[in-house]
Amino acid sequence: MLLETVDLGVRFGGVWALHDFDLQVEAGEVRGFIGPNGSGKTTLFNAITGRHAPSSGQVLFKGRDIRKCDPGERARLGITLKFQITSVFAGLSVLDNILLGLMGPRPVLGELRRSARASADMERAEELLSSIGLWEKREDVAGTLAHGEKGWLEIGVALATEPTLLLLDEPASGMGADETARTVELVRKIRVGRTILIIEHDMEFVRSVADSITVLFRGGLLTHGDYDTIKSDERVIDAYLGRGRAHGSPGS
Amino acid sequence: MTTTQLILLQVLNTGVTMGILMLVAIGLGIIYGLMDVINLAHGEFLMLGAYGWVIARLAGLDGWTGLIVAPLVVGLVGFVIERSLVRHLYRRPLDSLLATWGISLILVQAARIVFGPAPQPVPTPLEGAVELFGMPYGRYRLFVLAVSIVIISITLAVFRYRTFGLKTRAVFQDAEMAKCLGIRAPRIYSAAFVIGAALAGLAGALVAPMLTVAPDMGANFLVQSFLVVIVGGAGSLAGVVGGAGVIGGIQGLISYFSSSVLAQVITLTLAIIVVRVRPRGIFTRK
Amino acid sequence: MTVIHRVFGGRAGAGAQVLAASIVLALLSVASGGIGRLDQAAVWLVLGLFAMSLDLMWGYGGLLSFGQAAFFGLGAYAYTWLTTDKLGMNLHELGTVVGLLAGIALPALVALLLGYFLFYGKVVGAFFAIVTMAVSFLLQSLGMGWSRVFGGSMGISGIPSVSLAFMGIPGSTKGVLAGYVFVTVMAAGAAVVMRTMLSTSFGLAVDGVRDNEDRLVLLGFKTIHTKLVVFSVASGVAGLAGALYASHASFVSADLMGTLLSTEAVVWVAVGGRRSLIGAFVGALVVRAVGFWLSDVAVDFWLILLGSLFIAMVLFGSGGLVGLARSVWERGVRLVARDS
Repeated sequence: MLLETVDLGVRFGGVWALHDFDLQVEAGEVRGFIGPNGSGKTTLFNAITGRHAPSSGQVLFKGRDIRKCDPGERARLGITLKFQITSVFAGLSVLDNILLGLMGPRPVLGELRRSARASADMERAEELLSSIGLWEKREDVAGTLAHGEKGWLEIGVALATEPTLLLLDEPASGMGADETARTVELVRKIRVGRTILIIEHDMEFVRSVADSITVLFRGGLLTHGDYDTIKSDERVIDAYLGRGRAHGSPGS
Repeated sequence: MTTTQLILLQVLNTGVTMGILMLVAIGLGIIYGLMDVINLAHGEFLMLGAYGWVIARLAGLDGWTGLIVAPLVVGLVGFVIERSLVRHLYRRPLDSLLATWGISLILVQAARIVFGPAPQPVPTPLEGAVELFGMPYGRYRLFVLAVSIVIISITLAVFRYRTFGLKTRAVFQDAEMAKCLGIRAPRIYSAAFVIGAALAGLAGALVAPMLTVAPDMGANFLVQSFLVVIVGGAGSLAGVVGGAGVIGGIQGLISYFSSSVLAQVITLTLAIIVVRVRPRGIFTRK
Repeated sequence: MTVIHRVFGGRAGAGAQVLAASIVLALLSVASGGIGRLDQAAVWLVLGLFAMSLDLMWGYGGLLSFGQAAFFGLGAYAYTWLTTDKLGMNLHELGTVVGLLAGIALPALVALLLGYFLFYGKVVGAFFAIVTMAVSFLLQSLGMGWSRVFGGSMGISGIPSVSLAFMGIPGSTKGVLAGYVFVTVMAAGAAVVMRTMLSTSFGLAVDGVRDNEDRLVLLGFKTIHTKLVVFSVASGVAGLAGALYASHASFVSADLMGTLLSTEAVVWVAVGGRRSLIGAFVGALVVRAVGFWLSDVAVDFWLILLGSLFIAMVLFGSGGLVGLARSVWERGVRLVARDS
């Protein structure tokens, strides 16, 4: 088991944005997370990456409880997030963005002995930039990239930290059909040797990349299964169409 | 003098220090909290207020007029600065810091040119002492204590209970939302800036007879107000008042044993250590 | 073009640029006021070095220090304490060299300690500026009052200049020309060190901290360490400048740690253009030279002009002298291109 949450709960004031959440993710899995707005998907991601401290329960990564670790420590352990709203180093070049990602988990003082364009880093950067299709634009300032390219760059930066567990929060949001298709291709390419969690509203996208899908509703787990099972599940349809309270109690 | 009397004397003196500090720091805190503007010319508002006595005397006015003139004149100066410069700098703390430092340099130098560089004494409008708990205490100091308590209470009450205060707090919380409710934020900003300036001017007029008046007297009060905001946080008036209480109290206590500069150095050191433990100030709930 | 690139580009280029600026200043000074004016000009070079240290903090690291003179002054005092009888630690000739090193080490350590509290306390942006300003202001006040250590309002005079005699290098840096050359060499050396640091992969991390620190943290980067190194190195360089000042002027006072010098340096960097070491260096020379000239004409208006510069740089914010030169150059190139 690579990642496990046990009775995980996150409370904002009096509202439980996430409650009694049990999740198990095996190494090598690509898992999709869906659910209506406010169902707790992003809260779950934030609890896993350490941006929110859980109010109850545990987050276990490789069997180790990481509740006490801040986001930086979790990144060094191998958990990296690509934000929903793209957040690149807008003033720096595309290449520098990737090089910073490579440096992420390394000790800071060691960098003083390394040239900014150290050959090992450059090789890895070229590899990454080619895989996200931005090698030609490596000297461009990241802030000037198109929306889709920024999204890919951010995935590239996240990959540069060599994550074991990669979380993608709406990787295709705001993208056109072409860009979405390329993103699907990209995710399929990078899943080799990695575990990936994806939040996405686009069901077609989720179907194309995810092995299985977890559905959240009102901060709890509604159901879990492959695409066809989920698609025909009454409770899921109810949840999305808002036909009253779902039947299953969270965690069932 | 008995020990009790000594302690009482110390408490009263500390109260005077705290009162002045609150009057200065409230303006700095409100302006920062409301519009993310750090006003480095705030100390000069105090300095100009202190020169209110000198201006009043030069104008042939007598007695208490300095105390009335100061906040009015300084409020007006604040208004001009807000409308001409500061309004371009909302939500740009670093730029506001640089620009208001420029204002500060200009005001100090202007004061030097107009009033001369040398410190000037200001005669106390209230001579003599009153008998308090069997010991003499300066009447003017007592007066300053009373005035600052009254003015701070009024300020807090206005911000707490009047619609102006309600609107201000709305803008404080969420400027965008307040705009949607039809609150004209720029008016609130201007008003807050002018009130802050006037309070600092009043503080200057109040301290002048207890110190000497000099063009560069503002810096010291500015730095002390920073300490207040660092310790108390700039998120609320209560934080500022609480911070002023702590800083004034510590300084009163330490300066009883040694110099006031050392007291400030120790306070800054404490504030820096506090910041490590409570990044948002000790009076702000996280 | 290629020759120019080879000399002034790269790591050593930063030193060559400083060297060139110093030579130009020397020629202008001697031409306008004879060899004696080099004495004044060397002080400006020291301030130029100081400006580069602030540029490292502010231009590159994105950390606006409004109290950089605290470290300049501490460096000056560290040198003074080891070369005079003030604290009973006079090391005489040896002290002039140890003093230079102490002038670097003491401010660097103080910055490390201060930075530890501030950076872990999440003090950034404007709050960092006001805390550093408070440190500078209170050190100045402390220095004014504590005359046994800092010389009080009288300052400390009679400080010897750096002497290299005991190392077998003849002469001291006392002479007008020797002093000027010595300061130039030190400034150029410091520029090379800073440029080298910025050209490593650490320098890229510094860029990242300035651009988007939160993102860098989420990548697993310990940005606090980056900021500590930048703060510490910049303070060490500021301290070196301070020690050189003490050696050259043979006089120190509490003002050297104060807010006026701290904030004037901000103007130098802004005028010269942030994120350009040579820009900051030249910015200090130019502003000081203008001030020197103005002090003959209208001494009262110097601070008013300085204040106006602060306002101007915010309202018309720009790349400073370097930015101006660059845009003039580009416009020129465009004009030439259009004509041909």
